[in-house]
Amino acid sequence: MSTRLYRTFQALILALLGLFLFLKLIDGSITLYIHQRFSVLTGLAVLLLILLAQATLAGRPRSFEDGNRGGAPWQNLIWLAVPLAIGILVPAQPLGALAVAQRGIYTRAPLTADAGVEAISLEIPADQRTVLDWIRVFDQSSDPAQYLGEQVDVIGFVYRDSRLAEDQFMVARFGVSCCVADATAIGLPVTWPDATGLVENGWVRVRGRIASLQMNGKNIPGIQAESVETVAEPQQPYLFP
Amino acid sequence: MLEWVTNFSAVFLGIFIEAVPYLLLGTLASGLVEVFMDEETLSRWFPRNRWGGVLIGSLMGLSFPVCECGVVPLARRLMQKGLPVSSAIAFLLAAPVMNPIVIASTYAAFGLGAIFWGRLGLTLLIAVISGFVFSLEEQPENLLRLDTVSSCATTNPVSALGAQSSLRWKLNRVLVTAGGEFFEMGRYLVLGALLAAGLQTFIPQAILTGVGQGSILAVPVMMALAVLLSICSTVDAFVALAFVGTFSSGSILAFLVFGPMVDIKSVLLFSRVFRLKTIVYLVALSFLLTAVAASVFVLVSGG
Repeated sequence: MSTRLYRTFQALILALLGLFLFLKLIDGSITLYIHQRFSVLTGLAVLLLILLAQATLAGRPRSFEDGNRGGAPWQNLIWLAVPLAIGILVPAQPLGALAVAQRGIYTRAPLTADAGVEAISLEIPADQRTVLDWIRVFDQSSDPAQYLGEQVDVIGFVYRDSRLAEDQFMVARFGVSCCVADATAIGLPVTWPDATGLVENGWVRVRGRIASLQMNGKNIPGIQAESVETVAEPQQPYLFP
Repeated sequence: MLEWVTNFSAVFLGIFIEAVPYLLLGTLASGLVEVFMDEETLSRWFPRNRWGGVLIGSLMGLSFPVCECGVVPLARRLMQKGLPVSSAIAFLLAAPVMNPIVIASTYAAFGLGAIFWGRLGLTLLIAVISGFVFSLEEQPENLLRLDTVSSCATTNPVSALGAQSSLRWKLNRVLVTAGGEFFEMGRYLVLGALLAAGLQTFIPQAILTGVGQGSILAVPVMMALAVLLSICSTVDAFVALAFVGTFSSGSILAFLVFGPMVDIKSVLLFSRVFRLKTIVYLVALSFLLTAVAASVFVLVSGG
């Protein structure tokens, strides 16, 4: 492969990577891969990729006949084309019950040591708290029992945890600190008579009150459900602590 | 599409997209060094003695905000400009933690406590010790791959083209150099991300976490996890937080110190620059020092 052709392909791949990231940024699906606070950095990456593509294109030798490949093997091109190929061919889908089985699920996971951030969860009215907010609330209090009876209205996907009883399930979400590689499954146990009728991995809206539930022989805060209805998967399924 | 396929893709692209900006910044910094720094500058102000060189090497990261992906091309470029190999190794080990971004994110996640200072102090200590050990090598070129040493021949000698060096031309050369290096180093990022995603998708995490609940055993387990997750040091502090409830502080410290030094991505990048023997020594030394220090921390602090 001549240097000119090689450089042309390099420029093409750089530009396509930039375009791919740009498209993911503007349609919002970038948050299916990384935490939203990195959007700016990704935008910077788009800019740099385009700049590099332009410079590589402009820096090509004039003729195609040049036999020297600039000392680099063509296989390099394949490697950098892999993320492009995977990104285009595989639809962006959030992690679900299969990943929970893989990684485990936590009913206690602060996901930040910054007490200031955690305290914000306390200020949110009870029925507007997400699964993550509730876990933070329990994490901050020395006696979760003070929350018994409070109204709960959360959305999550159904996960059947083997530690729970027949009439119980976990209402789960994934919290992403940086990128999907570190996604941590968090959940609240729910008591609901028709738990066995629910589809695993399906999204539900659970309304009820905080109650004390048994799990692994211990008493932990959970939800005594008053209603459980199936809902559509949210646009943004991940929670970002 | 099959759930495991989309999970694999999500994790792989997550790692790649998260790391790409830092890799680009690193190659850009490397390009700037290539074009704007000449060999005399480096040898003029860089300290001659062993300890000085290694110490300065470890602190250089404070002016280069990159994570482990960006640091390798930069270290190689600096070595070609005359930076002693031992100092480059100290830089390589320390820079992923001793830089403004990582210091900020560690502070954001843990505040000004034992873990924050432990991370900075231990990283510096290990970098300096490792650098010193390698400075004992009489012929530093033996530590590097042959094509790293003779790389001056393949990169365009900018200094020789003095007359043509308008700023615009120089900036263009910076970009072209960066572009080439992005491809050269990028493939290791891709390979590392593929491996990490594969491990995450096919090996249940419970195998690791189940083993390491006890205080001291948790140390090597967290270090193995750091390698497996291969997360950029700029954000691994937040990831470590997820484990605070279940693992001892000493093992969390080991995760935060060892991860930026050695993981799937960085070892692959090292293989581009150093000989296998060097890499083995580097990894073994970092592993041992981290494990010992973290275990001491666990024993002293009671977990």
